[in-house]
Amino acid sequence: MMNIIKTRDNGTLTIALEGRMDITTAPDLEKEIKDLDGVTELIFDLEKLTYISSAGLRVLLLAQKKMNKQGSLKVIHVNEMVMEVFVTMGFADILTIE
Amino acid sequence: MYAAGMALLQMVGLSEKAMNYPDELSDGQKQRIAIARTLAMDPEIILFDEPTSALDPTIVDEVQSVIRELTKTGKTMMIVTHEMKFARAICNRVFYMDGGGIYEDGTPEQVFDNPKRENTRRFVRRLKVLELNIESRGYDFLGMAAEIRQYCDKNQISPKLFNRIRFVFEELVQQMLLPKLESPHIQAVIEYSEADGQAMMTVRYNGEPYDVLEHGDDLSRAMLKGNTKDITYDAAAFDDFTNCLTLVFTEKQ
Repeated sequence: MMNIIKTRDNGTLTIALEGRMDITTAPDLEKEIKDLDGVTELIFDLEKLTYISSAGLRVLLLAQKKMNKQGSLKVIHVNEMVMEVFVTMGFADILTIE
Repeated sequence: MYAAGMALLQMVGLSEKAMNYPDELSDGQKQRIAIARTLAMDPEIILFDEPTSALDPTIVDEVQSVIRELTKTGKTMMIVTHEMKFARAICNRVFYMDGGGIYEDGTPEQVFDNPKRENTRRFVRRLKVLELNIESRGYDFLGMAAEIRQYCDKNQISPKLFNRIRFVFEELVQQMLLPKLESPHIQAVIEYSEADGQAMMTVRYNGEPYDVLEHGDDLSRAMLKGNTKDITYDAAAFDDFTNCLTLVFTEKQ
């Protein structure tokens, strides 16, 4: 149960995630970020993300790795619950969070 | 003889069934008749071996109240039971059995309120705990998450601690154990101690010995470690479980 909403504006791709990103839904996002041709800025909007498990974190890491080669990645609108996971897991230092 | 028999039926509340055949009685009524039959022998001591264990929960009360009534006659009775409330209410001496023998004994107050030994303490505390059982991959995942939330709300566990418990439970079950176990059987027991604000989760699972702390993937292990104060793994067998993880949570780690 996760909605993935993509908005493309030239080189900027915004992906808004809604719902739960866990072992069952994270593969959906993984598919979406397979092809990032021409994307120089990737933005994850996590405002409506209610849950993130390690499977979700893994996909974010993968996206970060890809974008390191071709541009930048940032995560926006991180709610308190997801933020705590980022902090606990040391992701707050790896990701650019706005 | 007839009068004595009728008096006993009266005592178990079944005098109007005197002329009925056994198959016309409910399970609870049959159990009460069995008690009357025992009393007819006028024994010095009555032994009850789990008198309510095979009964439908709705009729446990009727059998228990007959036994409760019997205590008033002053007859010595020894009851083997898992119904702790019942044991506490009617006994004047409690023997807690564990490891093939008497583990601790005393008055109900001693055993239930001030247990001296570890297993008794855990058992008694476990009365307030939440137990979750997963017996298939298709278990009601959302229902279980709701149960954890309810348990935390009821015990006034802080949202922070609740989040940690939920993350670890999900990570462990969904991410680490279910993909690994061939025919999963997982039991999670959550205990919360108000006194020190600490929660403990004991997770038992079947299959080959599998220490998730050793073999789980990096992120999952970090998720577990980051959200707990302490984790220990033990390959000890217990019922049909072969693995046991004990996780301790505090608000500040």
